[in-house]
Amino acid sequence: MATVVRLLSLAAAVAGIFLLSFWIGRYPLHLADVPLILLSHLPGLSITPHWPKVADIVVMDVRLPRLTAALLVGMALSASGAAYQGVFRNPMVSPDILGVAAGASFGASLAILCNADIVVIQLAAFGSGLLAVAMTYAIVVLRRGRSDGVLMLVLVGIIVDIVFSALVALLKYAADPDSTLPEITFWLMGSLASVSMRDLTAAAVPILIGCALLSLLRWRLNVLSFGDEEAKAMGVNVRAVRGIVILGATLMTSAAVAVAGVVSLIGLVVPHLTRMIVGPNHALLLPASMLFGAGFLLVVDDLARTLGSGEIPLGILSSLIGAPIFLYLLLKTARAWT
Amino acid sequence: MNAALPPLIELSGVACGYDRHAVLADIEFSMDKGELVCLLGPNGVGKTTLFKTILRLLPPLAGIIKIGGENAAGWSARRFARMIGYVPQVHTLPFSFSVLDVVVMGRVAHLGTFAAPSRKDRSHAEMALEALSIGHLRDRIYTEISGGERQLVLVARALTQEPDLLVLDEPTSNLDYGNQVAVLGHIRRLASEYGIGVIMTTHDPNQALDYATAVVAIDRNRMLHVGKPAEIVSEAYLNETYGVRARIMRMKMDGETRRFCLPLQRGAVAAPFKDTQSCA
Repeated sequence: MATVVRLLSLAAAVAGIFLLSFWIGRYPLHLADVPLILLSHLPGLSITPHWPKVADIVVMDVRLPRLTAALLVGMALSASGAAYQGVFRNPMVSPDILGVAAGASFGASLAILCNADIVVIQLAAFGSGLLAVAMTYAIVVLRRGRSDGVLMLVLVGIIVDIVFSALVALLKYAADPDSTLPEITFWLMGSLASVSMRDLTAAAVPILIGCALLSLLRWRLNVLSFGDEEAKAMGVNVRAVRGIVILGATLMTSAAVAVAGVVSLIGLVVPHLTRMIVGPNHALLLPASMLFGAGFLLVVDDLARTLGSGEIPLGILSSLIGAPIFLYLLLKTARAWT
Repeated sequence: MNAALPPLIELSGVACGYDRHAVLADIEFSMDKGELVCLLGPNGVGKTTLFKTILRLLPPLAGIIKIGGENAAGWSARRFARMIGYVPQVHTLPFSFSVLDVVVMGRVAHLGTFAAPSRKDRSHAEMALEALSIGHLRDRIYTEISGGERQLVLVARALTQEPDLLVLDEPTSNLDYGNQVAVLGHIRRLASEYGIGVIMTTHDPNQALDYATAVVAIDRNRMLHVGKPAEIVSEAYLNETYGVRARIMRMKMDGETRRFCLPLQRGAVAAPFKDTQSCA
């Protein structure tokens, strides 16, 4: 019971941040208008608009997709980070471990270089993110031998990551320094500035599927932390569980990177921070990480669009905020690792 | 034992090893519930290989392993785990789970794929902790308790699987003397009182002599000797297998004859054999 209460209060806090974030931005909105504008779009409710048309556009077409994107992306990166840390039995693992971010960056860069439409850029990022992880996984599974599956996954993941990062660098080298190169560079820095409702619905599907897969298997993730042999002897089909978790986490991360670009460190810091608060049991850690991640990215995005005169890229800001938090955690818990 | 009942576990003509390279061959062995079998042998002769084959972590290269009279080769991991519980050597974990969390995980073989443990599973885990007199550790952090306590927690975790056979990997290694005696006492009680079959590996011939109902000893030539402890753990076996001249002592206590061995040489020992694996 206590855990349900904790999760519900966390969810309420995230919902509060979500609503408050509507007031943040260049265009000033009247305090009472935001809930009314949102409600006026619900079917069956007839609320006579007394606000300017532009307020409606700001809320519905600019801030609602952006805030929802922050919510979904933060949730996706944190959930997959928590899941990967469980699968790889290592709290220092981030969702990039199997090459998904480098893969997605490559797809997006290639599409930008070809002057593709934003939809194509996002599809290319999503597809090549999946491809990179599929390559890592296939190499490990198809190989014969008996060495540790987790270690091989991590090592092959590093190699795939190196290859795709090099390919991204190659594309940047080939790009036009006046047009496509800055575009690639900005995309890689991460942003939620141009998210539309259509992008969001497309990204929500893989994110929610991944979310469901991880949620269903979350308690079983605990058993994997004893290592393959013990988990197997305890009656768990290790390969199947690990495969499904990797699939779910990859769907989520790929879709998140496709929408928001590379927003690093959230997938590493948030699960770690959450574990210090709620403990390592994934039955609670996973949903709590999702909520923490959603709230964290909402706040970071609020700062991204208010701190400077222009927008600060999300990837830069999340790193600048996440790194000190992570360093603090590291110094505080360093004793436990010696 | 009821003669009509098939043995708890039966290995016939089993060969085991890695990658089609047999380390041990023609293994014939069976045991019943309530027995405590010690698996004895020097490093590198295939003790771990046999151990992993019994646990189905390695596929047998030949022969059949029957559990309760049934060939277990095609069993799901789940069904297997309900019959055989594995107790690994004391280890540490990357995450600081509570003791109860760790023990409840033993229920995974009894739960649906997407299910989480219920209150009933938790009370199962608590009973297992009580049975090993470590109920007070329930809310402690697994990584913060002592080695002996952690070993008992791992036994408790295996007990919540409700297995008929418990397989323990050197349960007293890395434990201080007091914890060794405590852990062995609990293991013996699981066999004699709860009727669970126990297979444990050990490096200590005294444990085999004093606790086991049967011994499987592997010698330097990778031959298996199966029998009563007093027959198998002999002065000749210790000398031939470990190069140690030892005397088996007998002591009558409460009408029971207990045996233990004492090495005779007290000075420098002739260089012990090299690991056969590194020779091969």
